Amino acid sequence: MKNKSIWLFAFATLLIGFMISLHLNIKPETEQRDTRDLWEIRTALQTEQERRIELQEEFQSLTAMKNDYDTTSRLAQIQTLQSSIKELMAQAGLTRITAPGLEITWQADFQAVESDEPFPKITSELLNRFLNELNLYGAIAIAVEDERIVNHSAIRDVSGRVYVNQRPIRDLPVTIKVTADDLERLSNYLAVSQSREDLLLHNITIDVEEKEELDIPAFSDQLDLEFISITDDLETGDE
Amino acid sequence: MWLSIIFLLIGVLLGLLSDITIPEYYSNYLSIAILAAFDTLLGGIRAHLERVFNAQVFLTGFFFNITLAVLLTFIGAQLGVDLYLAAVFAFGWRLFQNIALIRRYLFDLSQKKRQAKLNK
Repeated sequence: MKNKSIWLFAFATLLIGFMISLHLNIKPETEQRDTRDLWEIRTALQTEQERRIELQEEFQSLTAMKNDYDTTSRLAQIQTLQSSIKELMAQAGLTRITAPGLEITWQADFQAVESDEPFPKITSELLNRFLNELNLYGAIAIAVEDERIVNHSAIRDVSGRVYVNQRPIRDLPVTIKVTADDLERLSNYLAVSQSREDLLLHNITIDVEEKEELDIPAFSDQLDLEFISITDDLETGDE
Repeated sequence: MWLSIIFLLIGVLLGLLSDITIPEYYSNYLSIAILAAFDTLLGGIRAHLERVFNAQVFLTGFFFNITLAVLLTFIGAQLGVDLYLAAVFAFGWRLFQNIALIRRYLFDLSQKKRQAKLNK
């Protein structure tokens, strides 16, 4: 009789233990349901894959650079360092570039000007849009009237004049020098670009001339990084 | 005693290994069921010590109490009244009483043993 009761108690505790562990297993909230359809999932997958390829390429180039540092002597290390500094300077637009490129000239179209219209003038907005389009079509380096355009070049209207890199540029005609990997493609794009239409509305025409050797000056000012700081936050892949 | 503890551990392990998950909505039911089971178990132990233990009473009480408690919680949820608190109160009260009684029996038992030893 006593034996039986002990087994009964054991059975009861077994059930209690089971229920307790179930209670521990309770999830705080039901999981968010994934309601994306096949197309959305495919698009998401594609973007992730593209990102993966990008990251892998970056990783490979960095690994190659690291290998350079690791395997070579001190002298060669300095060389590698200098070459990476050069590379970074070229990326930042601090080097002079001599390469085949396009010389684009904005010219006032006097024939289109009506008698009561003023002389055609460039505006910062037109220039901004044009440079955006050039960048979109694969421009590598751009200079407006020998003012090199870098990432933080400012193009502003200051009391009726257009300033690039804090310096005023002259009135029309204005020359814009640009290099790209595929010049033909760039000039084709320019032939049908929206900017061409916009400029025509302002009575400005574009002449595009392909040059075998184009000299694009370096960014001459001090890079002002006063308001740029390194964030402490970890980004994806930092660890 | 040891058998019970071992079985408790086995039960916990079974629950953890079985990978059954219960939505949060039912957590109230589960906790009230655990409370009812505990109450019955302690009642059974007390009855065992008082030598009035009846297996059938224990078994039916075990399941009946759990069912009743869960049912009460369900009705409370339907009516919008926290009826499960009644079950919590009743079971909690009985739990304390049973534990107190068990403690006293065990205490008496150990004292009697000591007395017997001294008498020898």
